[in-house]
Amino acid sequence: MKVTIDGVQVELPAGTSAIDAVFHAGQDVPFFCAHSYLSPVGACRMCLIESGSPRKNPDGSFVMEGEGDAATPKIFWFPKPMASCTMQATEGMHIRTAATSDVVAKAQAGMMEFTLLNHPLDCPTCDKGGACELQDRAFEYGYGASRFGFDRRHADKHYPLSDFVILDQERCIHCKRCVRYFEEVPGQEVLDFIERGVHTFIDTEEGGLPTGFQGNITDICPVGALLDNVARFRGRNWEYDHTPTTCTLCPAGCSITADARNGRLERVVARENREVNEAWICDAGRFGHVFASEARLTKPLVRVDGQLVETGWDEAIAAIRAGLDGLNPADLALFLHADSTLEEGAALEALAALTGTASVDHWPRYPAEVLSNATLNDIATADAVVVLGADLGEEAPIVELRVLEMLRGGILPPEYAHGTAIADLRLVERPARKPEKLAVIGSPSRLSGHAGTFVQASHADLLTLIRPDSEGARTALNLLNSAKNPVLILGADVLNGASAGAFATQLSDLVARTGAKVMAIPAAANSRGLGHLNLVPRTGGQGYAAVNHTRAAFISRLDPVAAGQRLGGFSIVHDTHLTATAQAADVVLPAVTGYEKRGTTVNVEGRLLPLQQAALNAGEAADLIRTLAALAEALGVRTRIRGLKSAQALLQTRLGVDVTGLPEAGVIRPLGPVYAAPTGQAHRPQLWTERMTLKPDPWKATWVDRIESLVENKWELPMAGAQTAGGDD
Amino acid sequence: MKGETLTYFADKQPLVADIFSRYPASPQGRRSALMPLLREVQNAHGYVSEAQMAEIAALCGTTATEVRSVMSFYSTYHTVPTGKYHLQVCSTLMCSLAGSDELWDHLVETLDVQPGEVSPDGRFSVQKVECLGSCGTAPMMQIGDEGYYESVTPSKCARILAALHADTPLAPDNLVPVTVNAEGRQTLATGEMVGASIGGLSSLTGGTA
Repeated sequence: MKVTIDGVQVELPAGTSAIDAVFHAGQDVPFFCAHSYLSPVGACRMCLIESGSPRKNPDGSFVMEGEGDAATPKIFWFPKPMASCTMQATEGMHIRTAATSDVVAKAQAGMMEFTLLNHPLDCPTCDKGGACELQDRAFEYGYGASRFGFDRRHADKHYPLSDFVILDQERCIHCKRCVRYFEEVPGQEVLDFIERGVHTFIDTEEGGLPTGFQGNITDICPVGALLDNVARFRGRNWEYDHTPTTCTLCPAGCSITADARNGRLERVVARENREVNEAWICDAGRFGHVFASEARLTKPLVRVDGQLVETGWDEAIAAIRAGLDGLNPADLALFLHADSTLEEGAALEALAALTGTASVDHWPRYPAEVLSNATLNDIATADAVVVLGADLGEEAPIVELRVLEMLRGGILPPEYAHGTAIADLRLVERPARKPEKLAVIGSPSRLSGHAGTFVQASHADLLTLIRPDSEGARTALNLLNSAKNPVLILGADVLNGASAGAFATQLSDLVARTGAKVMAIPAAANSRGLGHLNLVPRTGGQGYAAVNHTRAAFISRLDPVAAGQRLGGFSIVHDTHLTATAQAADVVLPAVTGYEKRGTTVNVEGRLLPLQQAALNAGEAADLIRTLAALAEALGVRTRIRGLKSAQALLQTRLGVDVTGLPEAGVIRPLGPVYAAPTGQAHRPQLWTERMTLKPDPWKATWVDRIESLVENKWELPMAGAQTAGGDD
Repeated sequence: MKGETLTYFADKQPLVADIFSRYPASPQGRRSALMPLLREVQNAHGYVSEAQMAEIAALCGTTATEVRSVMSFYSTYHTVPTGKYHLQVCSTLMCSLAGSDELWDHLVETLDVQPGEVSPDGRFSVQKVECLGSCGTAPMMQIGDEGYYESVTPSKCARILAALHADTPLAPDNLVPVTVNAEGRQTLATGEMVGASIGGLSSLTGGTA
């Protein structure tokens, strides 16, 4: 299909919207309401273009213009500018944007004047300022002045829609993105326009927005109306250090941008990844980052006279050496959290080989290797999904969104030269959902409310499907049998009970019978990747569940004491916070969070995704690779793995993958055999942990504290101590 | 709260079934019954409370947010109680030129009631509305669903209010031009039926919906 935009002819696939044709040709139109993953509705009327098409005579020939060989099909122009986001480009269509059409330029400037009529010009105090679509487009396409000389509409500027989202009703331009988002993506009709005309505002009648995926509306709001309350007033957009990285709170591996300012992580926003999270992230990933900048351990601690006291790394290494005196290095058990990077896992595997310890483990993990070959796009485009024993909201929320995407047709917007289609005309408002394509077996969850078949089962296992004993289970099995591209999602309830032999046989039988692809949700962010490294207890060694039976243990970012376990002998704890385990440890080494490391993680699909280091202030904290190098020094062994580069070189030989220079969207690569071992305990997935929730009113508390201290100090302002000139930077 | 019950439709199942029978038996069709259900509650109570919005949402298979959104679009639905006589003063251009602002101020002062309130005796509530199509007889107001009171001069206003205080309302100058009767049929003030009948509908051939 040939379309001519501002005189440039481009070749486009059928079904392309006019707005995508314009961008594909390298031209520009302003728009506020269109969004790649939402239905185009033409609400904002900014993406105006002039367009026209050739017309055919009754005999099928084109109506021509001009004489003889110079004749060309006559273009019949629409009499008025049209919204390009809701118009389909057709063969031979001509489009003129503001670049070549004064009519369009004037229409857009006029429309911008209308949009700005009631918009408060409070950009200097608006969190969106500097990254605001309205601000940018008003600058590019507006008149620069308003002829509206009257008082503007006034409304509530601090209207809380929930604890996490604050609405500024004056700034809203009624693009309806947030309303459509809730209807179309999580399938919750909880937001809508109230009143009409100039009085229109957005509100919910459900007593607040449901936690889960509400934060995404703060990303898609084209103005500063919907604001992330955790990041509200914490910095201007140009002050943040934007770090594109991968979220390590769950195995979905969503692409995020971590925004830090003055060494604090202030905001997390979603980054588009067409393969994984499209444009959405869950609320835990967006709002649960507060722990990264609160109460961090910044220096090593050693136990002196029963108390943990701050010290330096050299002293900590000496304390480890003294504490392990008389023990064989092989007696030191090594445990790490399964959201550690592949590089960190490889470093630990290498150190375990050097010391010869049999007690190596990562946690959380499941006891057996489970075939898992479905991608997230496979789920979205499946024609049947059966979820067995999984609470996706706790285990991997984005998988839940992709299942919901499957229910409304699994339409993935195509990709053009400018990126994902801005307006995919196949997406419609109030999409017809097909709940009969989803069966959920397990405990009631958010997703089970959308399922056509729900079988409540306190304990779900594969036998529920293989030998169905209820009507619902039979329906689920039939669903898998009759579908062309079915996907079976397995969660914690099933995987905790998976044993090496029988489970694998049952699953492969089921897969052979139904042709289903399988997605087993790993226990933690990188459990799937670390499973390919030998990080499980060897013969004679202790697993993480038996941490109290170790003669000495190195525990990285795990908290067995909080889970009710006791520590064994001499304990070295590597953690970001002073956890219950750290408080019981002999030596505590400061660790970095998932936002501050470089490395590679493997998500639920087996996709290698890069982590980048956000500019956070973590004092002397070190990642696991450097910490293990220090530990090796204390143990008196020489490890080759002393940093990221050597760890990545080791991964190249160990797994046969080059993890340097991964594309931002990640790649799926085979990683070789999986090491599995019994775990000795069950894993209960929990997305939100206590440290991720914002403490009530941290600002108020800070101000009260400050004022109280001012009163106590007779209103003397606190002064920084004497600074040495020059500094160390 | 006068006459409010938490489940307004609980004892009116035949009525609910009748309203739903006017729409296709699909999820979209169920949602379409929103307007007559709202009208039913409003006619009975003079307003629709939040509890009843939630009840209607459950009946239609939607959410209270959607119900409130539809309701708030129409100025004829009320979320707060209205008086026995709901005075709707046209405030669009023609009436405004003819003195509707003075009429409004007079009503608000003499009745001691603001929009959204009911006068202490429960009789009066006031609302500014947009053009009711009686521009030739401006200024005008509509009282309840009864009819139009036209060319409301100060003396005529005093007569109307005195009659209402005595609960002997004057006859309106004109009936409301078009009303919807209990069968969902549009009726002119003359009694003539207009618009499509909801009875005797037949499905179009070739379609499934």
